[in-house]
Amino acid sequence: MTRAAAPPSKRGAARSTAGAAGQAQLELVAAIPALIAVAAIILQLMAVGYAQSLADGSAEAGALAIAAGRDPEPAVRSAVPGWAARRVEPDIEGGRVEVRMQPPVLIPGLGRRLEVSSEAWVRPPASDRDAGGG
Amino acid sequence: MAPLIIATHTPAAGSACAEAAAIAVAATRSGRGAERAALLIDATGRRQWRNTLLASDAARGLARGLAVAGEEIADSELGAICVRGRIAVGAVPADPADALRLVDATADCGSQRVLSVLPEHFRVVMDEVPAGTASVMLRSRGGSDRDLAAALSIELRARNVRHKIWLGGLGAIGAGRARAGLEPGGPAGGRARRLCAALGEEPAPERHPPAGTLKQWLRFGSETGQALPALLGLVAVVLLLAGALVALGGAATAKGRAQRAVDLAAVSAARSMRDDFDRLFIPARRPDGTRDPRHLSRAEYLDRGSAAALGAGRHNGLAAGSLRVEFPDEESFAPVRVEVRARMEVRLMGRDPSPAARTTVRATAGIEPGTAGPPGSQAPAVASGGGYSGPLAYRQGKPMRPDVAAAFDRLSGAAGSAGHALIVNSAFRSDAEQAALFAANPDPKWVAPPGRSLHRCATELDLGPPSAHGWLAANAGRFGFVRRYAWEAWHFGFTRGPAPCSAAADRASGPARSPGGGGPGDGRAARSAGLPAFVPGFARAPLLSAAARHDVSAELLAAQLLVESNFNPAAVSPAGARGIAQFMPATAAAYGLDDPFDPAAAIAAQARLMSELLGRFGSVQLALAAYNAGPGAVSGCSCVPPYPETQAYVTRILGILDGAGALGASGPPPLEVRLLE
Repeated sequence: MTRAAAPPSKRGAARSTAGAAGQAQLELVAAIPALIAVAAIILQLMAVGYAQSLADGSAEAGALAIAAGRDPEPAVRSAVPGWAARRVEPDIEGGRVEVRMQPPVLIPGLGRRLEVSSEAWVRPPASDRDAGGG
Repeated sequence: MAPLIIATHTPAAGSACAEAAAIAVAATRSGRGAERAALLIDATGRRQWRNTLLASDAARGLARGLAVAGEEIADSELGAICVRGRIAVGAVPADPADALRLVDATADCGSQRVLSVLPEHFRVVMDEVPAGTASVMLRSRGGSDRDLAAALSIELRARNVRHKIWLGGLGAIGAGRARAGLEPGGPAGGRARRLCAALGEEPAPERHPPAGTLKQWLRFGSETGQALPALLGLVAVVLLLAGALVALGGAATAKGRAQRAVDLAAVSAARSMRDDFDRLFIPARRPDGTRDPRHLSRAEYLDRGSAAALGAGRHNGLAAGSLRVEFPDEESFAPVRVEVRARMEVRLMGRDPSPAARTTVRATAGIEPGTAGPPGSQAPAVASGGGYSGPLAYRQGKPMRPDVAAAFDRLSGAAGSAGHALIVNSAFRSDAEQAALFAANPDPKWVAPPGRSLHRCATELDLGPPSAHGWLAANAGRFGFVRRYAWEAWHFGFTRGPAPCSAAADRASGPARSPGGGGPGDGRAARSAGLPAFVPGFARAPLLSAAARHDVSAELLAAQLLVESNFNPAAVSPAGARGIAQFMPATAAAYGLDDPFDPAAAIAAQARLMSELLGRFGSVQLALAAYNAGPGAVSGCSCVPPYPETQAYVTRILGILDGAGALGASGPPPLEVRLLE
């Protein structure tokens, strides 16, 4: 009876320490970053959606303030939570209120690229009457 | 010599090949350290074996070693060794001689070998294998096989051969997994490990973490769990959930945006109605018989409101055809509410909506009286910060000296008769207000520096509109006003009475009434000489008389009568209110009104009641609300109660007063545009 198979080399044996179980663990290890990336993308999308929702409500609040004859800018800022008030940039002209807002971002510097905006329009009050200065 | 397990079966049990493979897989269990492989030699001739896609390094190494180093194998034309999962498989024809040749050729492979043979070849193989080098696994079904299995067991025991009998089998799934070189799993997998331990080299026991621990959850990281499918499934579930959330969020956002657009459309319509409200009450014809362009009919008023709603809807992304604008109180002479509806379709992932996904969003807006506070809450009653420190009277919301206000009333009445509705753009200004104006436009010709403007004296009025400037220049002098500066056509100063900014002015002015009144009556009976045109002749004298007697504005009483009964002395409401002033019987009795259908008596009782209510609540709005809803409802909240009828009642009367130019000290009606629902 002759020797049919040589034992695996040391290097081969070292490689084989991973084995099938190691392969499964590698799959797990490789998948964890992918899972984290997927979760991060989902979280970021949710943050963008939430910011869009806040911008919508903020623009509407500003428009309603215009219709009621009040200053729209405080209404725009008070319609969002405190942390978001400094992220809001209102642009008001006549009865149009445009609100731009940067959502919270996981990667610094991404806020400007993910900026959302919302616009609302309402019929403004009849023009204010001008007063003389004398 | 590598250990050998010979697997066979009783005739009734079928093949033992899968069970042999399961034992071979169990033999590869190595726990810590290098993984081992095992060799399955299939000598049943019943199955074609091919490589599987995934195989362990140990199995590949074993097959490679056998193929390269085993010349006997290559020469024997026994076929290639294939690798399947964790085992290597060598298949030979159903011939005991070929099986024995492969057994000999792999004697030094160093791995556990499992030989699967047919029952008819079992005895031949056993006889050729050197004694003590092999053990036996017999698969049996039990039952009729018991005797046969027992006989074989006795014989093997006599020959001192280790042996075990496998009752039953792996089942279809377990057999498939075992033939693929994988753990069968379940109870059969455990049985394979136990048989392997009894017959061959002891496999490392499987270490399971305690149930319910984190380690147990992490078992998918081991090969028994097959990490990749589990992870792919997890990712798929996460993505599916995320997709569902996005779809639902998108649908909710779409509906939310439609609701916002409808809200803004309704508020825009209400804004239009608010701006046009007073025009409803301006007489259609001027005294000279020409049409007054400021007048709006109810139809025009509603059309403008509707157009405002449609315009806002279009600006905010709603299709024009999807909007419907209605006025719940359009039958009244002064509608104050608007309802906007929009039909919308919620699309999920771009699919056409089902009937259930079509929905309607609606909003109601209106104009209502603003919050009415206690006397003096809306504006200062006494001037300060300027050159005048006496009481203030208000016209169109602008403060001025009371004698100036009275003169303005006369001026305004005459201008109205001439077809000019005067507007007070500015009156008394404190030095601080003047400083702000000057800072915005620091040109002394147009804006006087702080401390030098006559507006600080409360005698100066900036009047509009520009179309009235010519009439004012010609007629203001008759009422004590002069145009102060040639270059300011709007600026008129009052020249009668105490000099501007003099101590005499402070002393001479009587006690001020704050907006909304400050004592019994509203102090405007004196203004009632010019009753609105809508007052019929039979009511004029009683109105003026009652107003003078109870110190209540005749215009206010007239507006009430218009809203209450349209000056119909015989009116009876469904609730039982009677007469021109719509007294309920109990109220009429309380005020000594024997015949509520007598207009003169009813107007007198109305003036008395209103005088008491004005004195009690200190506000025209609250007094009107109390007249309509009862004093109890108003005193409970110190507000106009949130009854639609009462809100509309107060709103309409204030609108009439504004349209008639009769609001005087209360300034513009404190009507607000509100989103109601």
